[in-house]
Amino acid sequence: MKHFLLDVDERGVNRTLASFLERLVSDGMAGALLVPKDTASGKAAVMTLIKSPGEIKNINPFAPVSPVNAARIVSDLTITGVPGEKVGVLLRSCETRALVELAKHNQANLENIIIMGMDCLGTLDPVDYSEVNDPGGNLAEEWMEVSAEGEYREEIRGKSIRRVCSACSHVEADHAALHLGWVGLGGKQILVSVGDEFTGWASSFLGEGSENVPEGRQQSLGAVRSRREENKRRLYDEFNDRTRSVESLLKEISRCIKCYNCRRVCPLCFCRECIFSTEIFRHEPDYYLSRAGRKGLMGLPADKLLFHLTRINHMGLSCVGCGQCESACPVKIPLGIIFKMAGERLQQIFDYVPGRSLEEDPPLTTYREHELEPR
Amino acid sequence: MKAALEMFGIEKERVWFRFISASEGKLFAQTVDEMVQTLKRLGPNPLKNKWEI
Ligand code: SF4
Ligand code: SF4
Repeated sequence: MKHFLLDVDERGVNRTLASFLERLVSDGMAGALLVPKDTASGKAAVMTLIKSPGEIKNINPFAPVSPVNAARIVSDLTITGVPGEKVGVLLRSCETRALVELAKHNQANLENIIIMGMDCLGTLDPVDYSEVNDPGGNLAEEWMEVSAEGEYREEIRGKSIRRVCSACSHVEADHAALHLGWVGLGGKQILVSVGDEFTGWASSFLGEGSENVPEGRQQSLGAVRSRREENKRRLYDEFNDRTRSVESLLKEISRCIKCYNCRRVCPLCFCRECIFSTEIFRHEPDYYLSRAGRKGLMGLPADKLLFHLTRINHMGLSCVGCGQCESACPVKIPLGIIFKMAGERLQQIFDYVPGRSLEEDPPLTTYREHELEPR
Repeated sequence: MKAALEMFGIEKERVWFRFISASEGKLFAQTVDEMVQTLKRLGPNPLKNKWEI
């Protein structure tokens, strides 16, 4: 990777980045872009597929909100084939990792997709974002400035970042052919890091570039990571106690209404037909009566525990800890931490990190004898 | 799968994975026997009595 510095001009971060990305399109490096853009009301920042360079100007690339894991959107875009031209997609770490995981499972096609990554220090719940962001607002910039100066914060205008984000140490996005960094750069510059195919292009207007990242950035990244590791340890200790027995797990999930939102938004729950939506779970009336008869009574909707255990079993090895499940849960079950924690433990057994590499086979598709040893 | 169940306090001895080839009838019978013995020892699954699962 080669590193270039892009100065933030007097129009601010968003306009500077808009000009930068406009150039990417007008120079023919990409035919379209998929980037976050505030809606007219400013109440939401949504992933937007932009074809016309003139429409790039109002983007909000660093908006601290992730209404859907955008890997899902890239999967939707490419599930039936390769886009006719290159699409540059701007993603944060949990999204690039989910995308690689999806590509490995044949749920996304990375041909003609340019992965553009960005620094992320966490995102707000979409509801909180819409409360505190104002139209044309500079929420991202505000947060960028304090964080860029090395101050560690977990809240923006009085709203805390999502709980899983506070336990996530992936600031930079992996697998990016072009990465936009801002942590540890003082707020007035953006670090553009590019792979071989963009080096010539970037040096045509950003100067010579360097093999090294500016001093101070590594230090800031290190500081954030250690704070996040500490948060994670604390949360895991707490949630270990809260889920170590079926009784305690039930305390967390018994208010589940089986709306399946968590399954719907999870980027890695990609089965077209989920077993819970099949005939297997459409029971005869007497089945319910006999089940209720066995215990004397029966809580409904049924099979909450089975649903969550099945989901952990099915996608735990691929869970990237994006926390979308938790954000989507109407009854606020702390799914993000539970799945991230359970997922990581399963991943350790196979020495597997989801989204780490395209070449690494998913553990359940390969057989290694030592994995079956008693533990 | 066993690891996932164990994490939430479900005994892993209740789930068995064995590879037995079609020609190993005796081994199959033996394994089932063992399985039955173990499950008898473990007793009924305590989850059975929970109405809210
Ligand atoms: S989103 Fe929440 S309530 Fe809905 S199925 Fe998932 S855990 Fe249950
Ligand atoms: S289970 Fe939750 S945290 Fe894990 S990948 Fe799915 S949505 Fe993200």
